[in-house]
This record gives sequence, structure tokens and C-alpha cells, in this order.
Amino acid sequence: MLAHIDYIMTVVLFGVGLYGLVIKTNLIKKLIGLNIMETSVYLFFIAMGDVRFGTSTAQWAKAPFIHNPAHAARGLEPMVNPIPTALILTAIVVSVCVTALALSIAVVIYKRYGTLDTRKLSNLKG
Amino acid sequence: MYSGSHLQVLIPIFLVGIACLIPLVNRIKPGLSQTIALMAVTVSLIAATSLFMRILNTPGGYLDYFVGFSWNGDTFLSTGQPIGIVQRGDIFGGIMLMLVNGIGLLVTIYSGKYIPHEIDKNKISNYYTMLLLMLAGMSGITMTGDCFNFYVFLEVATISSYVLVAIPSDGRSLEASYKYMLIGALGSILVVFGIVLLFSATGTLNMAYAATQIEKIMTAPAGSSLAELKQLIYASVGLFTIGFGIKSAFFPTHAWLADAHPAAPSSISALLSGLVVKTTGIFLLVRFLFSVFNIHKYPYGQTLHIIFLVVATITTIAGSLFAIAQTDLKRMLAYSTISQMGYILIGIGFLTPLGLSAGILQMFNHAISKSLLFLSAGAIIWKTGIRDIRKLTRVGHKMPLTMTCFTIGACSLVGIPPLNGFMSKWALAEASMDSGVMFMVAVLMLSSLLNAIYYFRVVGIAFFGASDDSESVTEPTGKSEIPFTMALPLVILSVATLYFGIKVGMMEHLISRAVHLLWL
Repeated sequence: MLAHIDYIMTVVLFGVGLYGLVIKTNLIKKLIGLNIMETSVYLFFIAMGDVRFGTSTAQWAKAPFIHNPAHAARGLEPMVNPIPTALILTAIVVSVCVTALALSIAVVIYKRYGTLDTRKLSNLKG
Repeated sequence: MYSGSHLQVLIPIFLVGIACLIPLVNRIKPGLSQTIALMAVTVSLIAATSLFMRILNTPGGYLDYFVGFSWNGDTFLSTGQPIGIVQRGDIFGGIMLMLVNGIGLLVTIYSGKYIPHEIDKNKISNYYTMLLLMLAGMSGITMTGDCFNFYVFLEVATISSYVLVAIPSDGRSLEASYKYMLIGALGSILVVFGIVLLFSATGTLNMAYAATQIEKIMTAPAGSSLAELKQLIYASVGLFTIGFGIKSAFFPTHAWLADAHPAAPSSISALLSGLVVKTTGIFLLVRFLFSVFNIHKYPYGQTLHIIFLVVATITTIAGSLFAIAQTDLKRMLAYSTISQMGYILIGIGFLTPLGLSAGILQMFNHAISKSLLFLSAGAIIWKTGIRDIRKLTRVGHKMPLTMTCFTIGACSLVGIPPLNGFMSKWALAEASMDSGVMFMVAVLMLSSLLNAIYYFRVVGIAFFGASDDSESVTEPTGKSEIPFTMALPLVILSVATLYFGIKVGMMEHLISRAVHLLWL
């Protein structure tokens, strides 16, 4: 069980993030919940992409080589596939973008209404 | 190997490049943003037309463009998958590309006179930047053949739409944009999770190669090492369905649409309701479920068949019921969008070729009709400042051209022949009788009735409403009611509504070719 601690933490973090996104009423807390949830997905993928841990996926976790007899003769060690890391970096950049945009909108909302609580905001707008 | 056209990558790159150029030019000489955007979208439309013509004339029906395609002279790895990222343009993507660029051009023409009324003067260059980025993202989504690629373009399109919803900067649009952003990001992260599971089961991000790997996994004998990966495939299908379902506003997750689409400027509402919710939602759903996962061949298709039909029925009926209760014009149109997206899902949910082509036809026709409706609603708001339906009495006499276009759009969505909305509803009814689910015909007819209730209420109030003020109610004024650049897109879209209704045979032939490719 403890060998799969990465995947268990993914589920726990996803749950925590979802709780924050849905239940909390402060705009910033919702945003932090979203970030935690996104982080859990990244953790899942990076954990899966590692040659040591991904047992059922070990065949693809090694980067596929171009068939080159000279390299094969020297018996190179498997490398970790670069695709998961590249995809997760892209996703992290997207997440930063969304966070920046959401924070700037939250700043304008706070300046205009003086509150960040969604219950009070829906009462104020009428 | 390399059979594709450079245009497949050049169209998004060009639009992104011009979008980055606009703030620069605005710093030096303000006021040129609209001209630059107009020229960029025109060039993009010409390029998209030429690409579409080329796709149609290809014998295979699709064009593969390998980005970064050879390393040491090898195009394919020893495992059989291509080295680079593949941009695959097939007919379905070509239809959506033409739609994106065509309606994008009309909206850019319309925005010239409309936008200064709605947003601050010094935000106009931001508006055009984000508009071009959104069009670039959507053009990129229609041409993808690789999961990585589509995710980048998906995010470009959706993040620019978050900004565009927030641009009016009054309280309602800020709050709507925040809610849209949170729910949209939730959908995106579920899509990433789906990509993760797809990659872990198949070992590739290329869509065509993943389809062959999934075939090997699903047909593997029980107990072999490949058969354990079936659970990853099931989970991946579920996550993609939910993720794209959030983005296309199906029943449990439709709440963001009712706030985001009315709060945006009307030209952007036309793009959002007409294109974004389709390209980022249903187009990608069809692309993944039919091209990659092949749900018509494997057992998980049966579960999805039932789920889609149930969700689609609830979405259609509930969307219309909510729309009847609305008093704000654009909010009513937004709920109507939710209802019409239910139709598309009904078509897709049958899992027959006839159903899928009916769904795609409905996607195409709804894009045209809903853009027409939102643009004419924007013209009404521009001229009279009224958004409340009850106050729209006798608007049809003050603005006859606009209300005529609105009526044509409304009749198309209710389903009156020979407009294109009738053709797609007929195709859906045909598909439902063909696949034996008679219940759907009743749902379609009930939903048409509900659509008629709230659309014809607006048309009735606008043309036949009792007027209380007697100032120049019937005599037309000398100058035109709305500027030419705002009237031109309305007229073009109305003509298109009529044209694609009468010439539905051409569209059905095209779509049947597209479905044949998806069905393989």
C-alpha cells in the first residue's frame, strides 16, 4: 500500500482541492482549491512517468529510441520519457496564467465591492 | 509521409503573431487595432478556404502535417509512432475551421462600430488582441492530431474567452468571468487527467497511433498484461466525457453559461455561444470519442449511449424551461444555447452514422443561427439600450432590418422550413427513428414547442406589442437604423441561414464524408 503513496496523495489532494473549490465562499480560497486540485493531477502524471515507480507502464516510461544498431550494441540504460515532464510544464504554465487572471479580477472585485465573499456579492448585485 | 499543407500550422501562428503585434502598434499609433484585426482575419479566412478546398480534394480525406518530422532521416520511431507532432486536418475539422474563420470575420466587421459603445476606449486594443487569440486557438483546435497540441490551443482559446467575458468591467461581467474561469479550469484539468491516463495506457500522445494501441488493448485476451490497461482506458473515457461536458455546458454543469454569455459584449457572446462552446466542447468530444476511443466499436460505447441520451434530454428540456422564465434578452438566448447543445448531444448519443451526421449538422446550423441572434440582440442594445424583453415593444417598427434578421434566426431555431434549423431537426428526428429510440422524437417536438414559446414571445412583443408612447412609432426615420458595418454581418448570416437550409443536400453530403472518416 505504501508503495503507491504517490497515487493515494493524488486522490487526497484532489479531494481537498475540490472541497476548497466548491464549499468555500471566499474567492481566493476557491482559487487556491483549484490550484491544489491541478497540482494533484501533475503529481499523478510525474509519478507515473518515472521508470522506478510505474510498474504497469514501465514499457513506455522509457523514452523510445530511434533504432540505431550502434547504440543498441552498447546497451544503453533506459531514460525517463521526456513527454510527461513537457506536458506537465505546459499545464503548469496554463495554470499560472489562469491564476494570474483570476487574481487580477479578484483585485478589481475587491476594489469595487469591498468584499470577496460570494454570498455577500450575490446579495449586493441584486 | 509529408502530404499536408503548411497552412495547417500557419493559420494559428499567423493569428497569434498579429495578435501580439496589435498592442505594439497601439502604443505607437492608436486607433488602428480594428483595421489590423480585420486584415488578419480576412487573410486567415482566405487561407482557411484554400486549405479546406485542398482537404476536400485529397483522396484520403485528411491531410497529415508532420511538425519537426525527421531526425537522422527517420520519420517514424521503431515503435511505429511518428517522431514529431502531427497536425491532421480532416473534413470535420475543415468544416469547423471555415465556420470559425467565417463567423470570426463577420464578428470583427461588426465590432468596429459596436465595441466603442460597450467598453472603455483604451481597452479596445486589448479586445482585438484577445479576439485574434481566441480565433487562433479555435483554428488550432480544429486541425490537431496530437493531444499535446490540442491542449495548448484549447487553453489559448479558453483563456482569451475568460478575458473577453471580463472586458466590460462592470460588476456582473467580472463575477461572471470569475465563475466561468473556475468552472472552465476544472474542466481543463479533468481533460489533462484524461490525457494522462490515455498516455499511460497507450504510451503515445498521437491520436491516430493511440487509436491503434487502444484497439490492441481492447481486443487483448483476458489475463494478459495488456488487458490490465483496460481500466485506464475506461477511466480516461469517463474523464474526457466529463471534462468536455463541463466545457460544453451539459446538464449538471451548465450554470456558468447563463452568467458568462450575457455578461460579455454582444459580439463576443455571438462567438462564445456560436463557436467556443462548440469547438472547445463538443467538437473535441466527438474527435476523442470517435477517432481515438472508437466508442462505436467497444462495449463502453453502450454505457455512454445511455448516459448521453439521458443527459441530452434533460439538458434540452431544462434549458428551454429556464429560457421561458427569463426577462433579459441575452440571458434567454444563453439558456437557449444550452438547450440547443442538448440537441447536438442527442445526435451524437445515438452512436449511429446517421445520428452523428445529424448532430454535426445541428452544430453547424446552430453556430450560424445563434451568432445571428446574438448580433441582432447586440444591435438592439446598441441602438435602444434596452435589454429587458418586456420593454421591447414596437422595436420592430423602429428597427425593421434588425428585427427581421432576429426573426429569421428565431424561426430557424424553432424549426420552420426552409431554414437550416428545420433541416437539422428533421435529420435528428430521422436519426432517432432509424436507431429505434422513438422517445427522442417526442422530446424533439416538445423542445421545438418550448423554443417557439420564448422566441415568438420576443418577436410578438417587438412587432405587435401594444405601444404606450405615440412618438414616431410607425414612420421610418431618414437615416439608417444601424451602421452599415453592423448591418452587413446580420444580412450575410440571414442569407446563410436561408442558403444552408435550401442547399442542405450539399451540407449533408459533406458531413456524410466527414462522418465516414470518423467512423473508421
